[in-house]
Amino acid sequence: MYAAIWRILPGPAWLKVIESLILVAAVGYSLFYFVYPWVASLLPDPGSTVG
Amino acid sequence: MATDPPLNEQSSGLDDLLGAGTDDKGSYEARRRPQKRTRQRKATVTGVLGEILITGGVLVLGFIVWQPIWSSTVVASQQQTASQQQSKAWQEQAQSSPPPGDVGGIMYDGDIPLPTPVADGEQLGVLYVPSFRPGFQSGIGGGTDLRTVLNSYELGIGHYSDTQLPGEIGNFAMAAHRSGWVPTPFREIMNLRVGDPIVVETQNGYYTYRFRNIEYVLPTQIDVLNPFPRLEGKPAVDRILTMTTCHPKLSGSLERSIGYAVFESYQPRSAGMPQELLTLDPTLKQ
Repeated sequence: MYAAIWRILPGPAWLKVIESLILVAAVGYSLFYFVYPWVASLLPDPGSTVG
Repeated sequence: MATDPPLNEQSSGLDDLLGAGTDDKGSYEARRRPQKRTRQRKATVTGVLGEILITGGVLVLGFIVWQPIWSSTVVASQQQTASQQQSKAWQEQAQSSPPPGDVGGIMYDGDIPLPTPVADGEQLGVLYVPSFRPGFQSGIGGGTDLRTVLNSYELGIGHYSDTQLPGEIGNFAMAAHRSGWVPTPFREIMNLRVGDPIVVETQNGYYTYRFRNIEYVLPTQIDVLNPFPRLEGKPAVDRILTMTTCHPKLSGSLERSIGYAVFESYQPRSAGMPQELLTLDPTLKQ
């Protein structure tokens, strides 16, 4: 899977490294700002009244 | 020799089973470190499956990293921004139509106006406690519902709606988180020292309380919310502010920290924010 991504990325190896870092940053951003908040809204509340 | 099958046969048999690597019949060493790679290695089922599982593990770990960061910085700053906006909106509203009894002037010596009670989940006021940290301000909502008040992006502090209002004789009791991955307005409640100001802003103005003491109780001791805290059936005498939150600070909810403060003064909105608050926390200047 990751090998396939590496092959698909254009350019020489150093460019591929930069491209993959950008990809990782984009995935991380979307996780932190969209995916994880959505997941958290699905999880049950903690049981205690105040914590 | 015949009893032990050679390693290369064994491993190529495994690859056959997984449907890959069948075209390479070289020795184990040659396949591990080919002198010259002429074709790209095919993706194996186990390889892709392993990568997916590792990715899933990293995603779950990322969620665990995200939870405290999100709650302590992002949601906390959203709550702060929301309460700043509410404060500003009240200020603008007061300029066009002053709250009842607001005749201007620093001190207010009439009857202390009480805020209008709000429905659960609506904003009642804004709490300022310079002792917590510079710039601390957090919205106070009606009721103590987790999703709409305590964990929301706009409020963070809940008013026990069956207790009294700010400025009212009795007990104005609030709850907020202290530990865990949720926003924690009352995290630094142990920073309070006798005499520290605790200011509640409502649509009408500012109610200043003085911190008196802190005590630790069990979660079942809800008599801290009584009009006369800790005494049953005794009529209210003073205007008390009570903050309830968890104890210990970082590790759970087995006990409750209860902070008490006593009402000192009321300042109408036209007089602006109490000067003491601005002196102690210059970041509140807008």
